[in-house]
Amino acid sequence: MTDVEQGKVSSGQVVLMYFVFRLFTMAVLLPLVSTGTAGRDSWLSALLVGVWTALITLPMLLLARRFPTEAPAAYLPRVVSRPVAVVIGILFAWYFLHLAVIELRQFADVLNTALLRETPSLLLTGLMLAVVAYAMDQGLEVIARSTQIIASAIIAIALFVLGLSAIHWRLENLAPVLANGWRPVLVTSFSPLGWFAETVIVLFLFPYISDKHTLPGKLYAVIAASAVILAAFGTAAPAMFGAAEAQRQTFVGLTIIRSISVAGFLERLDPLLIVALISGVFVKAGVLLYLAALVLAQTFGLQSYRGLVLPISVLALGFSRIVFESTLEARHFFAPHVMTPYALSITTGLPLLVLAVAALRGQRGGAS
Amino acid sequence: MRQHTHFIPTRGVNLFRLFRRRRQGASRGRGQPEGEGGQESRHAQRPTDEGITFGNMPDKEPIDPDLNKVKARLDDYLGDSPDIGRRDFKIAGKTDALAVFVDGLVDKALLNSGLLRPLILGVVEAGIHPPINDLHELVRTSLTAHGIETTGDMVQAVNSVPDGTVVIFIQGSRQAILATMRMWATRSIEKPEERPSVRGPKEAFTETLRLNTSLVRRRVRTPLLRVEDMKLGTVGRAELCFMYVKGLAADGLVQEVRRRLNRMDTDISISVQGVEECLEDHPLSLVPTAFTTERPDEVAAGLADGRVAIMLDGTPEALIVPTQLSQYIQAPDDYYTRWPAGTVIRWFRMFAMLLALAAPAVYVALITYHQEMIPQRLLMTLAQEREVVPLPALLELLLMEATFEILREAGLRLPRPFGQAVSIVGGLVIGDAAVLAGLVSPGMVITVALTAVASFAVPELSMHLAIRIARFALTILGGFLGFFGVLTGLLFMLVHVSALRSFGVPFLAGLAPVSKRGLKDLLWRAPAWATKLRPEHLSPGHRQKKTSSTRPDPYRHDEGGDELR
Repeated sequence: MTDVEQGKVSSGQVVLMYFVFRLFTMAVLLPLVSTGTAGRDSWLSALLVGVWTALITLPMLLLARRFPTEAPAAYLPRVVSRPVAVVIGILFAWYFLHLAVIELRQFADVLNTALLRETPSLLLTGLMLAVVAYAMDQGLEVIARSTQIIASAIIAIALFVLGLSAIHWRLENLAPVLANGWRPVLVTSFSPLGWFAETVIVLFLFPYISDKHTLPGKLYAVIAASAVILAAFGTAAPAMFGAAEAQRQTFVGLTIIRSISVAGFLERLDPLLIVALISGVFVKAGVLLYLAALVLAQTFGLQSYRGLVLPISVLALGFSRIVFESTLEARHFFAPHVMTPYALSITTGLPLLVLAVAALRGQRGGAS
Repeated sequence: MRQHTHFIPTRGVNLFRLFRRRRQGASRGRGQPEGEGGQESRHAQRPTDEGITFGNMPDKEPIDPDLNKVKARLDDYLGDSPDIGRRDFKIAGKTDALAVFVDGLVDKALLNSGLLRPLILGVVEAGIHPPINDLHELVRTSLTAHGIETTGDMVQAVNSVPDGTVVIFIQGSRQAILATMRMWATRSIEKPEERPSVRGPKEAFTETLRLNTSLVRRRVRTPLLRVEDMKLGTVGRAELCFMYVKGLAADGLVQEVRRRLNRMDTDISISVQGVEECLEDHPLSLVPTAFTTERPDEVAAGLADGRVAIMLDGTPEALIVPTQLSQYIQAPDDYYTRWPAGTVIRWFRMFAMLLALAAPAVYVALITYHQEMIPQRLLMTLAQEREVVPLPALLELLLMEATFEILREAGLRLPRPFGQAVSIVGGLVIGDAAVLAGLVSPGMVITVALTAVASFAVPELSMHLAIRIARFALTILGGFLGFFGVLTGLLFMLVHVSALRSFGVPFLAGLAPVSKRGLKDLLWRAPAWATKLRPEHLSPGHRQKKTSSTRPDPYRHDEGGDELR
């Protein structure tokens, strides 16, 4: 059976997708600070997140390399029987859709807070989804190429903003280090992990990567870079506002950018955040919704995923209205004891399970 | 009942087909009354045509050995147009022969010295005596002109007459001699107007294909340069050729170019843009995916990169495929100045392209929705200016843009003396007076002017036009949805441009998928010694340009640096 996706992408493009995912979540939500409890020790938690992510990514990579040329939907029936494979496929499609919906909602909420207070968020989400659907329809290669260009802009913005915000850091806010011991630091480190677990996209994109052997190295480099940038944000927020105040902000990233003022003229940098936000949500929703469509199409053996683009986009539009009642409710969902187990059970639990079964049965796919 | 009074329908080849099909249908009795009747009435109008019309030209026809029958047949084909020259003569005073040519397209001196004179006088010296049995022998031994072939096909003979070929029919022979002696009035090589440069070569293509190919061959002298010819258009029958360096251009690319050119089906192609439209991967896109240039040096550079150039007789431009975004950002001068200057100026040009695309949209978005992002003092000034303006910012801007577009068009179309008047009336009277009258704000005039100037910094015309049109869409989005609209519009454009391919090669190649080599053509103008590889997306087989570093270094031993010191 020919695959529904015929394109090829490079491992660099795939890890850039993941990097944009990370930066977007940091810019909008910064779960490390907003739902964590480590306060001034957040930066330590951020570094720990990097370690955990490296660990949970391992089974995904091992599984992907076990079946390097096949999409999961192709080898899952062989490994865990067809009914279980269908369940796993649906679970992942749901997970991708859910994540995309959350991000779309967050994006609309920030825009309504920071930019267009009276524009109906349905219009904002709808227009964005129109562009996303266009990109999905064009295929993986096009999403990857757009990501590549957007990534350079977002990375530049993140570094620029962090660099400028450093002027306002009062590092004494961070002392004393580890005043409350390691426990809150550890707990907090699980808060962003649910988001960092998005590395699972490589499991589904692996068959389409042209230079597969370079992927693990680049992926780990990007995980490390994400952890370091997260640590920088984890330093910036408490160092600028104090730990308690930082946690109270709805959108920490926005607050950080708005507080920047250099020499009286380099201020009101909101447009930078808006650029990062809009292009970031495009990449994130684009990749995730594309994967949802792809996984569904492969699981059910459709000729093409393109027929699913429109239904999934409409579904995402509707869900984005009802996924949360309010930002407060969203916060509860993002808490480490809700979001993280939910995400990890799918992104790490399922691949681990499949990997274990495949290893026990000694099953392998074609050579890479 | 529709009457077909014209012999040549004017609207494209499809009409011809329709026309032909309908007539066939009538003869099969399908009840299309205009078929046969129409044909007969045409014959009544033009008795000389004897039924050979555009629609029913045969593909092949043997040449009758009887010269009188040939003459009658020629009347069928060519009619009695006064510009068709016919010269009756006798070979060696014995055998009747006829030369046919188009007056004004052949070199008459050459016709006399290379063809008629040897045939009339010289054949006997060569030892050939009529009757002529072997035309090849005749051509080999007694004709002095070049480009001579023979054919036994009447249709081919007749078709080659308008190409500037002299056709000679000989009594008793089933063959005709075709001698290419084209010479016609041409424009001389002039300076490039569309893509001028301060330094560097100043030659531009002309309307003559052979001259154009020679301009390219003078720069690409490898014998591996290949030129392939074909005819384009059932009416125009213009020569079309494509050139490539064998081994540098990917085989698949050359085949694809050949396939797409052969696929073309048209009456006449009067410009290379018509060819472009039939060749493109994305015929509906605003963005060009075949690069048009009038500069032989750019074609030469493209060929050396492994691209294919397409040229059409009668148009002073060439198409280069595949093309990438980088080509639209480069200007010829980048490569004719020192590399740091070339690089920095290229950055300014990219910034100008961005301004040309988005400046009005951003201005409208700022003024309409995001006043808090404008520094306070500037905001006060702007607000004061806008106090008297009756229109919302978006309308005001669209009005100004429309005025400007009309001025630009008027200035372009009018003869030069009038053009100046237009610019005075437009620039001074309308611009200044509109501000004084309170119709538009000065800030808006500045924005529109800046945009206009920036758009002229876009070095390639197709891209310039694409940006100009896309700008309107972006402006309207900005006017309705602020920054969100502008950014969504830009995202859409990004996705679209990412999806574009030119002959299979991604339009953004070099940038996305990114490559170190590709960025040398795009983000900076790398010095000549720094580029060791050819672009990977073009000539995958032969990437290595040079084998060792050619960076000049007088202190290196092998360059004799010791002696210099």
